[in-house]
Amino acid sequence: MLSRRRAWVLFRTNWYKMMEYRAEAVIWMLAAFAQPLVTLAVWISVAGQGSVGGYTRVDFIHYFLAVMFVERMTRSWVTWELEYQVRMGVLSAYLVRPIDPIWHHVVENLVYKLFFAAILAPALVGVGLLWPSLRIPLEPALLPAFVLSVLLALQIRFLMCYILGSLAFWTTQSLSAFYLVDTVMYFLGGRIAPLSIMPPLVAELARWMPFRAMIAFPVEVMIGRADGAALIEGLLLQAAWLLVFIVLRRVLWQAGRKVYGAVGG
Amino acid sequence: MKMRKYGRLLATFFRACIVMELEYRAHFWANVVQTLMQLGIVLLTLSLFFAHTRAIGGWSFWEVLVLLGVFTTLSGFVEFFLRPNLGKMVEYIQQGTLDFVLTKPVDSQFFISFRYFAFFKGIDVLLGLATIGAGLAIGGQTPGAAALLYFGALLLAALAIIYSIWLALMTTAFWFVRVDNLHMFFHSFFEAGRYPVTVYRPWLRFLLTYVVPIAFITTVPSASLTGRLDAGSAGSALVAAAFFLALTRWFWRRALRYYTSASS
Repeated sequence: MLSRRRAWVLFRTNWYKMMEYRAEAVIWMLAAFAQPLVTLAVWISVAGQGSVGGYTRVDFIHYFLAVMFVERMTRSWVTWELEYQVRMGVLSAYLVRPIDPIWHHVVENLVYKLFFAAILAPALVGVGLLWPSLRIPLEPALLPAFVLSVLLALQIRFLMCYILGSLAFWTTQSLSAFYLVDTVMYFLGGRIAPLSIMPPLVAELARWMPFRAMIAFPVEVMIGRADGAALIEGLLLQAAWLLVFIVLRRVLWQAGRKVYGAVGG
Repeated sequence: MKMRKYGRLLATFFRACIVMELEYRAHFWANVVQTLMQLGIVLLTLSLFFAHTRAIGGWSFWEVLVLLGVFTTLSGFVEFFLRPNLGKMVEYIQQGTLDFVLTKPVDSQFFISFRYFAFFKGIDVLLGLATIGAGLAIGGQTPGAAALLYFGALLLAALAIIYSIWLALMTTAFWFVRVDNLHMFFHSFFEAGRYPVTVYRPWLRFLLTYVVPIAFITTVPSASLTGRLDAGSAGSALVAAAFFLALTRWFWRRALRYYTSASS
């Protein structure tokens, strides 16, 4: 584990780094919103005055606002970072430090997630105050469950990205693998539509896949479509996936370090 | 005479880029796989939408497929020559290497626009055209010579608009230097062109037609193949293209006068 002092140093340096690039971070965030907004526009036009699979126009707006929030909270760039470190041999510099290199990534992720949360959470509340119909229908009593589901989701997604990045120990195509998985997640993670309006077979498959645990489930909690037994089931599935990914990343890391040969000196 | 010179230059640039790219053949295949995957996503997305509706913004399945073909074709062109060239342009300005371009006996805008080509992205253009063909086949349409001619002209106009907007955005680098991220805005708006402009609410439709002319980029060229084209929007698209080209040309020249190179 990480000592308190080291954690604080890591946090501070990463925070300063983040602040250096804050304008870029906001631009990239806004640009990434284009895709969900366009998809939302199509669903609104499809729903018209009626509803699609239990989602009216306003429900779709809530859904995609939640997708934009959860997607931002869970997105991680660690695949690129790790791929770069392995490919260029920069990883060596981290290996000789007295902490597991994953902590650098963990803290960096925490920092940019805090940064985005600090922007998006007030923005969502503000939108809800200005346009009451757009207020996300999250019951205050479910807020802790929602926060928990996001915390679990961001760890699962981070670990998945880390695992895909660590494929760079063996292949130069680890980024291609990432894009492939990301494409699958686009559908099975509920980024294109609520899972419940997908074909039943796909929806059932998605329910048991890790992608729902990374995005769709926290979104469902956020808009009040997962409570009671469904909430417990979802959280348990998240915990299970988290465990699987923790073990998998450890195994891959140990094996990868053995085959790692740094390039250059 | 001048045309011949620029034609020869273009051929030389082409050759140089092909030679360079043959070095990276694995890249080509990775790109083919990626494009096929994107087409797969598009088809799955469409079938999901059309499982719940018979039309998107009043356009039926085959029409939207044609439009997505146009979108893919255009993004293929963007990757083929816009990104390689305009991406480098900001670098020229930041590092002051634009000096080397300015001292060459060619038009500087021509040089920074057409020096590099990413040939392996050309495959996207072909796949886009194939998608258009598939859409037309599903719709049981055979466009006549006139429709094809219109389509060709409007596709060129769309390219001209994209080129102009992007170059204008990048030209702001003469003043602001660090504009690498500005192209993200372009991509965001371009994303809106994936669907017919009629899916958007009226105010947004207005914005996407007259402020950021996304409607002229995908909706109007597609309409020429699906029989929805009206003379008004075809004319406006051509006028808009000419207007944006001229505006960007003016802006580029103005920016050059402002250029003072980087410190050395």
